[in-house]
Amino acid sequence: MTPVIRAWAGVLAVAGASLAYNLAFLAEVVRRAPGAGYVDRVTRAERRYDPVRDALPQRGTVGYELKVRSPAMLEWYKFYGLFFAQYTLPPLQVEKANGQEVVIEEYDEGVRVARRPK
Amino acid sequence: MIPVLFAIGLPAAAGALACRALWPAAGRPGAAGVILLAGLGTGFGLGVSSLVYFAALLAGGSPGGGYAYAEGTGFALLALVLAARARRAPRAGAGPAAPPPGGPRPMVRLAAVAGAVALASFLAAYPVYHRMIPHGINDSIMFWNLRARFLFRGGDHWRDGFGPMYVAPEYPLLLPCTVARCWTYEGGESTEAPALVALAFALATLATLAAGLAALRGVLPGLLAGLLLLGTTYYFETAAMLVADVPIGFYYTASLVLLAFRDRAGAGWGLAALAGAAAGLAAWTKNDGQLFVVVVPVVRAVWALAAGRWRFYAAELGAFLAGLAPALIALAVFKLDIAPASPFVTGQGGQATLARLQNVGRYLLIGQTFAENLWTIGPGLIPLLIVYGLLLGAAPGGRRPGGGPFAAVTGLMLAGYFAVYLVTPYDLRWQLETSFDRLRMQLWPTALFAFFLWAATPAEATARRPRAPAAPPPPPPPVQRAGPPSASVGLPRYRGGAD
Repeated sequence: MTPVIRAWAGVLAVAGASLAYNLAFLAEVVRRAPGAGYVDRVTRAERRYDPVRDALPQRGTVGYELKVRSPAMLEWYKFYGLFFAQYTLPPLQVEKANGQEVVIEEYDEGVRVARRPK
Repeated sequence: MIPVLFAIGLPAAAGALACRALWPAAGRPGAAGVILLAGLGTGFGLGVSSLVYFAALLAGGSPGGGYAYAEGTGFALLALVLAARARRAPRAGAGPAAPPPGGPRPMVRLAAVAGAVALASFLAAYPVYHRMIPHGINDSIMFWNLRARFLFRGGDHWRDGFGPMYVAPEYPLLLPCTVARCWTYEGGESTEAPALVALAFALATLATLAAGLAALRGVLPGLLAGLLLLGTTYYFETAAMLVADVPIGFYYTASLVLLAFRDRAGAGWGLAALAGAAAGLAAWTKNDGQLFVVVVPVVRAVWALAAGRWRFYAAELGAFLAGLAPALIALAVFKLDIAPASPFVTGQGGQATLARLQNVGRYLLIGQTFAENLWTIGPGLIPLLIVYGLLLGAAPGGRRPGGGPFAAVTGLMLAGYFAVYLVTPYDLRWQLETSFDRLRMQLWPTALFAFFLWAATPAEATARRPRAPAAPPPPPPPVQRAGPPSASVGLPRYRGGAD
């Protein structure tokens, strides 16, 4: 192989493979593009808190308790339920229920705020 | 979205002009110079603006709407002053002016067209991907954007986001400060702000890598490196995940590119100071960056010792440390006054750490994960680079601007990550599975940079004359010359009068 052919082979291999990966990924992203009305998982989790926001204190620490029963929801919420609550509610601090006066209870149908005397 | 573009654009413009002030040669006309300054300016501008925002937080809690006007005016005035200064300043020294093509014109055109198509594809896919995960992945929800919400919403209680109930409260604040600052410009929260910040860092990395290589080695190697980055789909995904691995990768790349220019320039404190500033901002982005702050001066010191360039290195180290200082001061304030102790540090102990170090299975698991993840970048882009290297060979020694030290930095960073995994107090398999795929993307642009510094450009490779047939052998030279025996093997054939 002459140096010119070797150089062309190298450049074509790098440029061709890179461009092919790039375009294949674009096609894959377009194929998986969310349709109209799509709401991602985190936004959906955040919206569950809209009805109870006024019942929560502005600051301080509240507890979180997972009471979800549906296996489909549990699959995510057993790992991320607390994180979703923490992400949704700043500057309110959220931690696992552990004797707090205000506790967020997460059910299949929505979120409730429970006040538990200390 | 317009306020976010101002929030990114104003410090980017001031950053580009500040780079131009510290490195006058970078302002020479030409696409590579403009693109390089735009890339560096975006990263430095966002980094510095995060430090300013952090100072405002310390001074008075979450800034209100007036902050955007005051800070924006400050960056605009700075840009105007620097632009006026740039018009008067002489342009001297080594800079990204008039880069050589690096290959035959048809090859350069082909790579340019492919690069333009790949960039367009990247930009087209980004908003679609962002719609799928507008809040990013779990890391951005559990700490990066969560922390930004505390900084933005918290008022006087912004420190509440660093409580023990949260994940990774000890992580530095470049990204949360940058996102919260964009929201301050917007006057409210949006998912577009973190997405645009992430996109800005990805494009800044691409610009710095491609334009830096174009200026140092030729347009074609720059285009090929850019194409490889655009073809790395997981790099794209890492950017769209809204995590800190692409921003920290930018600062690694910027620091090494600036040091490569300093090697070429032979002097000048401005480039070393900028390289130090980039390293400091890497440490302000993520804890991993603290390793980079140590590795770069060590590698440069070893290289200086080997090359006998101590005076050059001493001057570089002074300026590098001066550049590091602002970000490291912010990091020290954060670590000492705000962040809780890292579980990684508190999880170490004589016996526990020793037991981890003596566990051969941990070495094997880490090694296997590293090998699998590196081999599958792309997938198959590293094997492709090996083929490219075999086809084109190394750059001629005399013209090579030192790929070795930059490859050593990348390699030592990887070794450092290996050591961190080795002693991690967390479940090793879980930590490897959930982090190394992104960590490799931090170092991928620097690996590409080091590779294309090392490899011959197509122009250099095609300038080599093909080997003559084996027979007849050349006559022995009449006089025995001094020097290593290998130095004369094959060389007389290539160094005839025509060359």
